[in-house]
Amino acid sequence: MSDDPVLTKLLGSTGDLDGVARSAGGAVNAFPSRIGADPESVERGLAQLVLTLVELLRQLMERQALRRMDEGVLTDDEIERMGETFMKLAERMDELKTEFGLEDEDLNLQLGPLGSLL
Amino acid sequence: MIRLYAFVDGLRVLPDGLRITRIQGLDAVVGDARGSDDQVQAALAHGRVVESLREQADAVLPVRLGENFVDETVLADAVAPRVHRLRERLEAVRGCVEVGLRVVGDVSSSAGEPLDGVSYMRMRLEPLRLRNALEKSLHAPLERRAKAAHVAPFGSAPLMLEASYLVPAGAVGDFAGEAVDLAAEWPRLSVTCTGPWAPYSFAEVEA
Repeated sequence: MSDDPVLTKLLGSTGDLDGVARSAGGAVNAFPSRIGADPESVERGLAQLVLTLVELLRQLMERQALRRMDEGVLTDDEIERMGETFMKLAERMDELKTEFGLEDEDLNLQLGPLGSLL
Repeated sequence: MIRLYAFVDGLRVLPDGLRITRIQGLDAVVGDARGSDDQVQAALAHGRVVESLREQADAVLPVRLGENFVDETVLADAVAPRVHRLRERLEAVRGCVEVGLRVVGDVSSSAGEPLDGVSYMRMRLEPLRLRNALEKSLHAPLERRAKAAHVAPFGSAPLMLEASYLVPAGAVGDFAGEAVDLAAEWPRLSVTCTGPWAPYSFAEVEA
């Protein structure tokens, strides 16, 4: 039997096991991070906080729109307008992340029983 | 300062460095809390203790990391209002372990970057539809075999499904076998089934 604590817990798998392991890498970042409050990093810390909240709202709105689209209650025009809005929002978020040197993972939130934001 | 690790019943061997404190007939496993700045190492150490308790007890309700108390009296005061519910949970997990399922896959569309609103929405909808299909054809049959199940809400690709199942300890092999068989229907996705774990996902007791 392997001494590797991960392999001893593996009951079965299909596909790319390394890919699954990579996806679990975020578990080590599960502890809450802190917003940097020292003078040098306070601007970036505040940007991180604000962008995290914006990302949460963006994802909530987009998920709701996708659900309505899947239920077939949106017209083609509505889907086009919403899609264009969400696409532009996503592009603008990417620009702001780049501007403040933030990665996707910096905007992640652990939402308890709801899982993680990203 | 003491650290609470788990509530147990039918514990055969108490791991070194730990002790039992009895609260209205409920056995709580505690140890001295040692400060550690390394949260990952602290989490691993906590997990090892809980796993050893799982191997040595008829029923174990793991407690999340960081439940520290000044002493046994303070612990008893905190636990006393929940003893009845804790006993119920302990009974619910008796003889069972947790099995985890994780489904990962690159579901990005081959169509490339979206050019308009409609194609953007279609691209974003694809993983949600795949997730729904996975819940029906992979999660649901496993849920029927389990005593209880917990599925995490969908976040984003590539993690398409993350679920936990409460399974009788003697049925873990068959359960994992079915999971792998069902996973074969999804060749584009990678599926792992892990366990047996202490029933972390089924230990929650409302305050």
